[in-house]
Amino acid sequence: MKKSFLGLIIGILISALLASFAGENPFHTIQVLFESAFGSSYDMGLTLFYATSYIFTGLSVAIAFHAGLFNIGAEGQLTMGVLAASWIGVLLPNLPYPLSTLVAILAALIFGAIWGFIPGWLRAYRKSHEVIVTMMLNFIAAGLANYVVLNLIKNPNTQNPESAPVGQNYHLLSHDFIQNLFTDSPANFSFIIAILVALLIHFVLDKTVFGFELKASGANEEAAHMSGIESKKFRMLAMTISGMLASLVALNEVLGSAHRFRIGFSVDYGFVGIAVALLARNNPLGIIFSGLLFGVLQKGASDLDIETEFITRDFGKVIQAILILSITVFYFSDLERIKKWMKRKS
Amino acid sequence: MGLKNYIQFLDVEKRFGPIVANHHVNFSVQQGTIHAIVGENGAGKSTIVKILFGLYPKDSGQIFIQDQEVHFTSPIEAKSHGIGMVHQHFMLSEPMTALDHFFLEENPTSLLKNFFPLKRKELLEELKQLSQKFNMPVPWMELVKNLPVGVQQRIEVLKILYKNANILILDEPTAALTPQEVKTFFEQLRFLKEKGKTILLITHKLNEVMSIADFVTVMRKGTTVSTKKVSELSESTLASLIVGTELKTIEKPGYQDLSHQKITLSVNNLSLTQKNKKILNNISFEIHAGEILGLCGVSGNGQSELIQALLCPQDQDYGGEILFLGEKTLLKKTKDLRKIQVTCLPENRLKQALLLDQNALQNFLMGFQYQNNFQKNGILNKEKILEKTKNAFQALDIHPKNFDLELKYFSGGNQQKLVVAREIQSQPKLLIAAQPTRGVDIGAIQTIHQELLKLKNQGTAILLISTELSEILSLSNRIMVIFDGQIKAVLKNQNLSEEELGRHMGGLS
Repeated sequence: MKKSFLGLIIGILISALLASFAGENPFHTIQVLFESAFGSSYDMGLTLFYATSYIFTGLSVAIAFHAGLFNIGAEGQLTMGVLAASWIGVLLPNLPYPLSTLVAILAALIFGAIWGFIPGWLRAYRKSHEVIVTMMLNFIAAGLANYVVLNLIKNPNTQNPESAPVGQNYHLLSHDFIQNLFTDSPANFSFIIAILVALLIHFVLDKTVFGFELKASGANEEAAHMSGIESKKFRMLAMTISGMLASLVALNEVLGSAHRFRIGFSVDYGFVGIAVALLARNNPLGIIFSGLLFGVLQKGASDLDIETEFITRDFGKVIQAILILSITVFYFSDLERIKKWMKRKS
Repeated sequence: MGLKNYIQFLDVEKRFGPIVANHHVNFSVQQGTIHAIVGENGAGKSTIVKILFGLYPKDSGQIFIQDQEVHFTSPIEAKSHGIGMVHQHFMLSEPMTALDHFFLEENPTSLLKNFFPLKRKELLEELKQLSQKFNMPVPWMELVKNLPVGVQQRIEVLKILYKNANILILDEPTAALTPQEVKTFFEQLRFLKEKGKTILLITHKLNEVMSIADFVTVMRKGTTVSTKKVSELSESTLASLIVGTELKTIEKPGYQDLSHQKITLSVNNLSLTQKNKKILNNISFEIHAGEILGLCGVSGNGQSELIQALLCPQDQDYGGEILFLGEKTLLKKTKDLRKIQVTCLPENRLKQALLLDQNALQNFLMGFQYQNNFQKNGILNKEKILEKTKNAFQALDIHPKNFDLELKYFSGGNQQKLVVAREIQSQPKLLIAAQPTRGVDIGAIQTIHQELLKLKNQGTAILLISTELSEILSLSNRIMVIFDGQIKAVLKNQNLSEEELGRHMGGLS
């Protein structure tokens, strides 16, 4: 924890240095980042909103990693989840609350599960590599979502590429205190759900036989097999759960904020999820923090376009990369040795 | 003989994070001798020579060569001081010829020189002279991958001699050699000694030390215990120096008629055909409760498939039947077999038994996650797991007693002891022990043998599969020989000799 924090600080310093190479005042750049992420309750709300989705996708990638699989299909899985929730919401607008919400969540989970199950099954029983399959499924999900949204449930009242709004009863809570806290921002109760899900996944992985067997199949498939753990089954299950976790982005997007499918809603949630998981070393509790960090960066960078002269919001990506590197380096480093080295130099 | 303190180690210490690999290492090596360094796995032998060769920096202490203190920060520096090393795993590139490896030893003086054509002819002449001088013939133009291991070894040694090294470090040089190759190799080492080279030989085979070394330094738990002249030692005193205690000799149980005991496992006409080849051919045998049945044979004659049939039979097409306590088990899942107390020490512990990146607790739980009160309603009982693991570590003297340490940091012997402790924790009805002591040190071998015998006395049926004939002979009640997927002979362990077993193993009867 101490080491990761040190890595964070060093990473920010390096980023500031890079900004100054680009001709910006580094302090100003950092100030813009912070003000944009935390400046007002609206800004903070947006930060939380991004962080929520990052936590879900981070967890999705992490559980696959624990089973020895690399899920780069979170993007497709969450697309399917969001599509399912909004589709149900448009088709059955008059379901009573809370049945409406539950049905939408269930639909999202099922679609996400299918999108995780396919590569999981193919990997376990047909030896197709999950990286290739999930990547292809991402494209299929995007195509499918575009077709459904633009042809079957299009919003007739706007030029925007989005679906019709879901029924009135499709919201997470009747009195969402997070929404009240961060007025006008898309932040909503699903942030709390994300944290609860992270705690749940931590419990499952750390404290249950199921989690143990899942990790064992990932750590050494053959040894797991010899110990009577059906590693193929666990890989398939892990991928399915992974898809379900990614699909929970629907809570944040459809039930919590936009209440419709907006094409292009995802700011690379699925792919950034990989970085979120890596940074947290696949630890579900760590993912809460790394998800927040990436939320801050995502929101913070959004104002770089307007507030600075020479760098754009893409600089946020540069900072993300630098932070991943510096935090990883410091996590694995030996602080005592660094202290010794500094002493010798001075 | 040359200088008395040619190489000298003074209080050398080395840590890897929390682990002390070497401490208070003190010994000196005489010039022109073969000096063996022996010790159990994890005693710090490899680490100390890697420090000498500049691969690891030492944390404290001093190293002198010819009374000059040296600090090597890289192998290049060590090489320039006339030190060369042959690693346990050869550092050769398979698709290159023997000759071309010697270009890698050159350090070009300028970048431009990298682009000059290689002078193969000149080098070949030079090398031919070198190999003649040291009596080490090598087919220079052959690709390394086509050469036998013994010749690859020779190339490694010549690479060192080519750089005019006077100190040769050999890390477990005979591990991969056949007995014949070992013989030739030792002749060459003696020849090198006559030429005035100093050789540091790391090994854990005591007979090698006795036959070739002049001096021996014994290491235990990271430190040097003593340095002795080999001619003043016997193999058994050396063995007890290494282990640190007097070795108890295990009493051989020998043959006992156990036919009145109930039959734990009976295999009838088991066969398996893969790609039109009979891997297992009508195998039949039975093991009684409290019996160790030895299965010997050259590896690859069906042993692995037999283990599979006994422990994880679900994925294959077998003929015949397996009865475990009268119950047919051939189509059962591994999980269910483990529930009825069939356990196994797999042949390859790293691949088949351990989670190297997980800690001791996780590894101790493997395969037993549903048993021994380790869980309730699917939730793990961590205290119980810790308690049982602690007891097991105590009982089999597993080191280090750090339950959070990842398994990859344990030595081979301790890893294997952990696997043994795990698989015997609930007194199984049947234990399949495949190569239970492969690659582990004497101390661990003893512990493991003792545990197997204890288990047998408690009524467990044990199928002991091993390529070590001495192990089979000292533990088994009856011995079965497998050849080409067939059981060639079942013998009572009475007055059997290794030669007799060897004959059966070769398919002769």
